[in-house]
Amino acid sequence: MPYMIYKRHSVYYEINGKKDQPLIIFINGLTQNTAHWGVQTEPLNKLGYQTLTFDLLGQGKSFKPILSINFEENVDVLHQLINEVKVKKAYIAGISFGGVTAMQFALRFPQQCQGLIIMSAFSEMDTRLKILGLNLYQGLTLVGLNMLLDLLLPINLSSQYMKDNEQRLKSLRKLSLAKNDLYAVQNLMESINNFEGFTGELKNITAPTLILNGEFDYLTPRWCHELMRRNIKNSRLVIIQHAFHAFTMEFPAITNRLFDYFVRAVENKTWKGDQTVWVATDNLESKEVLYPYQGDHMRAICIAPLQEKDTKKPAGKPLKKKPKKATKTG
Amino acid sequence: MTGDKKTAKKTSHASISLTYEEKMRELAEVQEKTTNYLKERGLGEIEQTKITLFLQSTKLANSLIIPKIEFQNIDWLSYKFFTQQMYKNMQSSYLLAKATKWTNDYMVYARYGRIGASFWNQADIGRYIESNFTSDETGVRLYEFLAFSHALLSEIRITPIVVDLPLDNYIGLLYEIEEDNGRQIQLQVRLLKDMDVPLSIDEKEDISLAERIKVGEVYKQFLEFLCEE
Repeated sequence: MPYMIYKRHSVYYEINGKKDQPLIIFINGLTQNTAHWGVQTEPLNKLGYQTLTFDLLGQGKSFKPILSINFEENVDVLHQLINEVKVKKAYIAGISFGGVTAMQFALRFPQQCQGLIIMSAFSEMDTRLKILGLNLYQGLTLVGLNMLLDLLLPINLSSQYMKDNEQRLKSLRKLSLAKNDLYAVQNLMESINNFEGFTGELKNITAPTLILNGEFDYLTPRWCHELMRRNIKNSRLVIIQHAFHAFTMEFPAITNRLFDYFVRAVENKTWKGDQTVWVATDNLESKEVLYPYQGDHMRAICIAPLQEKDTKKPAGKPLKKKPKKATKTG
Repeated sequence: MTGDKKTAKKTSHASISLTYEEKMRELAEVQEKTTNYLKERGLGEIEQTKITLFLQSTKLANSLIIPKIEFQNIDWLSYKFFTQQMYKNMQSSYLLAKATKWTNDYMVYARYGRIGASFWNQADIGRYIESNFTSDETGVRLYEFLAFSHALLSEIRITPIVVDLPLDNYIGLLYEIEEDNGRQIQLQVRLLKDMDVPLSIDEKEDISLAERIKVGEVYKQFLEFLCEE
């Protein structure tokens, strides 16, 4: 089991795939660990990529500091890890909490960042996101880890997936309760207590950037990713159909296809970071991986332009029901 | 502080971290063996008796130390939560006793005596009880106690080793107690982080690690005992 020593603490990591092939590094979300990326790493290794997964301090098999975790240090850990495996450049992919670290890494160490994949992340916290975060934190500290996991489940996954995988999710929950330490998850959450938005700095990211956002992600909704698209010059925003926050888990084949598409395009120098918006196809048989978004990607509804005859009468018949008279008994 | 002293301190901080991680890896191996053992064997009367005896010892240890706060200058809110924690510990202990299928094999109790005594000695619990009656103006001893109590509540966990077993009343109660430990530990977490003591962050972390090493060692011995035929 490979461990790297960072300052006085050990960091667990796994590196797989053929040497000298493009390396994709995955950064975990809050309650993830290296094992969660198995559905990504195995297929990507088969496609010829090298992959590196690791547990942040406070997660999985890495050291769990008792008193506090410094969020900024995640970037230093990753920097040291890249040096440790003796690679000059890598593709940095991060989801949620890890997506923030991925962006900060690209800002601090651009020379080591071959490409950037940001998934379900944020560079700014609005009131809604802050309150959602606070609710998750209170769920953890006032009730327990079980509450945090229960709150996260419908944020992360669709109803259909939860219905189809009921038993699997139950055992994953049990496993997560047994293997995670509340104080460590709490430290991780508290590490972003003093989070300050860094959207203004995003313009300094020069690496080719693929921004991925679930169609129905309401934890980090479209506006979070729109800020990235507008500010990162060499980027494209791709919307994953039917997906919520944790689409790497729900749609692994689609996301793997996107990773392959992106890395291949950067390696072949055909990547166009033109700040456009795309939709990932949900058909794995389709030749096209993505197609351009039509309409306003910031809206949840598509409003068709009005034609002349449409203006004369509204669609559908108006309801002609008479209002019920109020009775004494109500 | 001179350069040499600083380096020496840095080395000692690193050394305790490495010792801790080495011990934790050893513990993880024993935990894995125990998990496999219980997966094959299930949680029968003997195993339930051993687990309950051990957990009751930890709850007793945590409760015995709590009166220390009677002599400390701490605020009302912390005092309230400490007292609640003491009652919660006792409640968990009684609930476990009620849910356990106790074994008739008296040798299990006799052999547990060795583990119980070792727990008492290795975790040096007497030191905390003794210090209940002495003055602790800097609060460092109270800090050590908090770190010990934090280790007891977070390091000693049974659910990871019974994760493969089907839920029944006893295992359900174990999950419930650990969830409750998570809530209770918030008091220790907050005080460990925010208490005003003349210690640097590294020194605070060292105290926590030292207490976790002690508790981890006791826990490891217990797991080995749990797998004894």
